[in-house]
Amino acid sequence: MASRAVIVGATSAVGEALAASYARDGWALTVVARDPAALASVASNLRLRYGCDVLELHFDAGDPATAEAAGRACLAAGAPDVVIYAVGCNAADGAVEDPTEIALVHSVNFGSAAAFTAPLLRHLGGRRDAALAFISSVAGDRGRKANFIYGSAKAALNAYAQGLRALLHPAGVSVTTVKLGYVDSRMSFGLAPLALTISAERAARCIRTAVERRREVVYVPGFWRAIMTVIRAIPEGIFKRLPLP
Amino acid sequence: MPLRAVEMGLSGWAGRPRERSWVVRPEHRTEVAEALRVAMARGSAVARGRGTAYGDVAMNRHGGVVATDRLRRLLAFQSDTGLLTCEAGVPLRDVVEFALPRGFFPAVTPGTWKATVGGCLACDVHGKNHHVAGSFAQHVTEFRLLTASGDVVVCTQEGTPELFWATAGGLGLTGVILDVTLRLRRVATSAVRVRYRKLADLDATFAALEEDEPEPYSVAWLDVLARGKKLGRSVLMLGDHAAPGELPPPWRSAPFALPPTRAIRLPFAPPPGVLSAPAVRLFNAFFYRRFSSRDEPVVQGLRPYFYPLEAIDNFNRLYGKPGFVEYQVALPRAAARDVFRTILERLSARGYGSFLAVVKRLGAGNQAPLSFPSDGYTVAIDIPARDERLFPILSSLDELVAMQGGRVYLAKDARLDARLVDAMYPGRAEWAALLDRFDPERCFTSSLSRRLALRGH
Repeated sequence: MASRAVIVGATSAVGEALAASYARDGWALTVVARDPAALASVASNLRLRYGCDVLELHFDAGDPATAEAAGRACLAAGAPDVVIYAVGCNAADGAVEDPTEIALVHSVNFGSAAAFTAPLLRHLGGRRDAALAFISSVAGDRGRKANFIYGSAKAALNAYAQGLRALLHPAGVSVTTVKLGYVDSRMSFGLAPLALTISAERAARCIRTAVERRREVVYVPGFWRAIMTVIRAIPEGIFKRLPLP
Repeated sequence: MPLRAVEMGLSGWAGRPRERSWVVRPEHRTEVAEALRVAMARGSAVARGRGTAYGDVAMNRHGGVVATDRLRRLLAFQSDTGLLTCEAGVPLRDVVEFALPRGFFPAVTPGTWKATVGGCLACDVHGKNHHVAGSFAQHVTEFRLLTASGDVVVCTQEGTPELFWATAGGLGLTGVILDVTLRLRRVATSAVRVRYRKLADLDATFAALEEDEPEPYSVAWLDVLARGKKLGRSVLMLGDHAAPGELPPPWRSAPFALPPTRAIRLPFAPPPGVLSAPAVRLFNAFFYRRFSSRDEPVVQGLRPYFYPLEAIDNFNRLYGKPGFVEYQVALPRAAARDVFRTILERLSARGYGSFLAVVKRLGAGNQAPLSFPSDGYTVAIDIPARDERLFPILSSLDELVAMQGGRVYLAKDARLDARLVDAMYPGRAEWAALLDRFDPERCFTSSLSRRLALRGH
């Protein structure tokens, strides 16, 4: 039987490119996303182009109460070999003073990730090559005044993945934290500097390689490791005065 | 996250003009209605695929543009009938690569596979087989159109003939095409059997084009710089999909294999001298000699036959910063030869050379009022836009073409004068009146539609 990958957030540019990358190599897929119509198009495309077995699952990461049931539903086709949580949403302008938006951004980027993963944990252990990956962001490395609602959710996701990595290590399950830079996607369209932006396909290739090599924390693309090392090294007393966005 | 309108400089494939527009890029068909609203907030909107139309048809100066390049999903395929449904932003290359291993090929394909199916429908493009197969829209069974009111209309030739044919060749001005169902044709291999005929002058070229050859694909490559007795000399390329038995042995075991090709990308434009008249003359003479006139066919891959320019991924860059003009006109049978002679004489007299000039026979047109192909002949010439003296020459040629009952191909145009449009496209006013019924506020406009007053003044 073909290995199965679960891609949560499969209607995002990176999620869809990841799904295509696995489908091309003959994997079976469970694609998970909020909008049933968009998800159906993504799934049809995967089936037609790659002839693969695709299950569709609807799940709104903005509603953490449904996350556990969604995670459980993924098990219906048997325990997956790879689970990649690729859901993310940026905060709207002025989110800092908007508790509803803060709750939503934290749920989508972090709370739902943990709740979705919870029912899967005991089913992943003991399998060869079982792997979990969480698509995080360089924004989680340091809170900047422009986007720290988003950044703080991703920072929480990073700490969660870090703990989970230690928890699952004895069971032989790898947990990869992917710190994405700018990807040519809906989130960055028109905002990110082009020279620093990579295509969703390239991001997907890098992510897949990291998962296959069972890496712990990766920056995609790799040059962000250097950039973030510098940004993290700036003393707080100076950082708070910098005219960074 | 709401969709954003992002200000960007856009140009067509020919590189001129270059204009700023507000681009909104939906990721899914479910977001196109929102994208259209955001784009319309900039005054007006038009859809744009992958930017392979030559001129300003998919541009909207200071207005909104809905980019469909992320709508690239295949949605359904019936292997018995060859009906393929896909999102509007799917490039023909994806259709070819999907269909070939299943024994199918687009019934009509233009000379680039970068073009999207939505763009092919909106420009009602034609291929080398127009005289037998008609144009692209004639092989579209259904599409869905997001109109100005925000309604999605399912369009078919029988059910909604008005909107179907107003959209086919309608240059994006009826709405945003969301998805398209195409009827593909069956093929037995990925190879083409090609016969080359060397033709000594324009009379020989026309005589050969008039002959009813067995091959469905035919196009003549013209040496634009040949003068005097050699004026209009050409190589006629006749092609048909090869049968499995015609393939060389190693290929026969995998008849649908597409030889992998790596397109070259030009890192920068070549220096101007590369495209000077003597250099082009040398190239063309070499090209002409390359072909022997034997009637012996050659079996080759379909990519070099149908998409020869794709060997260079960004061949438009050959022409450097000033860009180029692709001058394509259609003329009725009776007038074609004399008008083409005048076009060639005037261009070659001024030394406007071209690597790429083709003549082909067109079959009858269809009922789409703005569709370009019409019974007769078409000639297409790439001309480097190296100086401004070219434009008055082309304008005077436009007058001649209009007077002789011909027309300029709007999907390739960036310079035609609005006065000539109604003579070239007599159904334009009626088409515009129909559009006003669906879009009374004239939300859908483009740089081209304003330049040519396509929707009226």
